[in-house]
Amino acid sequence: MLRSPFSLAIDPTILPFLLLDGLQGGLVYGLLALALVLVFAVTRVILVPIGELMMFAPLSLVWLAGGKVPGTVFLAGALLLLWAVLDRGRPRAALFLLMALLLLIGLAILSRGVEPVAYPVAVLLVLAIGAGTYRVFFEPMREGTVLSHLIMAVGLHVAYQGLGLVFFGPEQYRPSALLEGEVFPGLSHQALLVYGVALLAVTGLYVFFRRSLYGKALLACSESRLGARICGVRPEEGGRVAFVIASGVAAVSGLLLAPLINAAYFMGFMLALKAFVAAVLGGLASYPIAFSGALLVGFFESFAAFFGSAYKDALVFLLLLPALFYQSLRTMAREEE
Amino acid sequence: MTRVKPLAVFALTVAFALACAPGTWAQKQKEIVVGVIENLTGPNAPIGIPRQNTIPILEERFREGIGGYHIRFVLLDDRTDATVAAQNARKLVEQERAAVIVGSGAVPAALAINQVVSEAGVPFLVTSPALQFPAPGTQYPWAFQIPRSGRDMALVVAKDLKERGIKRVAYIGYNDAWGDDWYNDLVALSKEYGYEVVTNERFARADTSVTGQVLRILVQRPEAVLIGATSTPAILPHRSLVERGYTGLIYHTHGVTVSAFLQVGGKVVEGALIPSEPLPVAEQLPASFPSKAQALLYKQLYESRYGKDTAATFGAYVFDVGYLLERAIPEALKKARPDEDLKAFRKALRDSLESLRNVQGASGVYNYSPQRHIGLGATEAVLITVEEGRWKLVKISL
Repeated sequence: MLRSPFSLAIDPTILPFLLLDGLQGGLVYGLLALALVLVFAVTRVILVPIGELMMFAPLSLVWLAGGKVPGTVFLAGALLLLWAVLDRGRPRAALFLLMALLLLIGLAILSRGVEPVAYPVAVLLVLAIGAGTYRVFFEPMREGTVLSHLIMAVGLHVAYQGLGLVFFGPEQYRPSALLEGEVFPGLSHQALLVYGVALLAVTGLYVFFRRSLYGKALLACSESRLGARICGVRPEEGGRVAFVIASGVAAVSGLLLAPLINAAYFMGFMLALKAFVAAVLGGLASYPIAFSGALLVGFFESFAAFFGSAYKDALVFLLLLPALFYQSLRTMAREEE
Repeated sequence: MTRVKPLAVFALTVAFALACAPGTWAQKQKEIVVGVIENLTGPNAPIGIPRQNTIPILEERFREGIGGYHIRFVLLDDRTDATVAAQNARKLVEQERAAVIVGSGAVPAALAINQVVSEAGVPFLVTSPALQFPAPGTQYPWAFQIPRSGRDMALVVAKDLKERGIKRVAYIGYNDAWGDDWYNDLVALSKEYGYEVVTNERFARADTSVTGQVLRILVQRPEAVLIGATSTPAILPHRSLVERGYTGLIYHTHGVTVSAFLQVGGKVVEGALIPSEPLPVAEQLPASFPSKAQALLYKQLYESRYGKDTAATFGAYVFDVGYLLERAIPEALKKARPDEDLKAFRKALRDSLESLRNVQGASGVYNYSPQRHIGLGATEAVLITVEEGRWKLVKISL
């Protein structure tokens, strides 16, 4: 049944709730969009599985807090092991990786049932999976085209989502909130924490790229990899750092968000897709545009849910069309690098 | 060397044949194959897994066979995909020579199987509400539905609304067939039971926020809200309603009667009203309740294998296949023998399924007839609630 979208005027008491809801969604999409832009700029990989990385963190936390060893430990372990095998030419690095592997497994076993320790362990697990994913799957094909990277990324998304089902089952889980209670109805302390961390992450990334040598080197990599290499910056290392930052952002935002939205193995893809819409609004190049695009997506989604919930997702993806149209007008056909 | 080789091969063959013979030879000739197609993977896996787990219980039950025939179960996965389901149905009918097919938790897959079995003439026990309305015998001549139709479950809600004198009901449900069916059933019953459905909000299983939809519901000031969702995703709208200060009644569908709903929902879902099969509250039913003993038996058999609070109503449907076959197969064996004339046996089995009356199963009492291929009616559906993290019986509709 179709309803007229104008059948209901917005009540002034409703507007702030919708705005807050949009802000919460928008900030999450924003953090993921920043991570997507960063990874794409440095490595030319569209990190489709970022949603899965995001979901692995809270689900691992729930498993650890419940006294069980999550399957992500084995995934992280397998990736680190493969990494060590790939780096067998450099015994010291390989040894370091094996130590990290043992440390991770030990931490996971020790932190079972101890919730405060489980938080950092969940983040570490996702960091290891993120970095390992780059080293094992993307670094060997770093000279490949954007398309071949994308194919690999989509394949990994499917694989990680399937593993998520194996590891955590089909149900949703809700870790307990770090901060209970509400500032006023509609704004919980946990949501406030999400806003704070999002703000911190954005400024942190800004400072990192503008002020630190490492950040500048990463930026250089994303500008021109050949140029960076000539100046003595190793693009492979840039790729690893980009993946670590991206998976860190995903893990932390996933952990903070899960008490508000519930977490399940299948929920990452939709989040990643909406972050991708935001990143595309910024042409996959501009951090500020991607972030404000994400806020736009969040508000748009919130209002679409109010006016026509059956068409919400279709309306959000409709946002892509003008952005793609604009991009196609702005950039003349260019050859695939 | 060349002379030894054939001898060795011969010796091995004889040894192998001897090892296998006592079991297989006898069974090959006298067995009845029950082909099962379920959603073991794919989006419907949470429904398929309890059914997969129920098969060993049935095998145990039929260990002695029926009338000298060994009952062999063959379980195939349809990946919640109608095409795969149809392929598997063909495989079971032609290669495995199944006498009866049981399947599938997804309605599209069940309809695809129905296509195959009606061509081949094989009786089909449907484990999803695919026949929906009392189907005339001509339309689904070979299919017999096990679960209640959704309309019968909606009836439980509608009756309760009327008894409480509720006039304004808001609806929020999945943006898929489950959500559509529940909305349509709720609206179809609204005139008769004297209430009005004031919203038709939708959300997706993977949604992370339903604030917009919930605000729109609150604007309508409903006295009750029905959430047309399943399992843990049904918690998000419930939580949002509570967080936004809604204090009226909240109804769910029978899709939430899994223990994960209680664990993840916690305090938030206390007081939710849920139309359900008898299984979740089996212990609390009065001794006179027709399917109490069967529900308790299933619960005990399932939970002794898979752990406390694991039995789910989805699996109980497959358990009830046992009760139906137990009654139908001996009748059919009087008319035809599967090892002599499989085609005639399939027909005889269909006929005896159609004449089954008063079969008590874990989900209720099954009555089939040429006019009605849906075995269960609205009776034996119960209304339950959540109290202190456990299912609690509210009302028996009988």
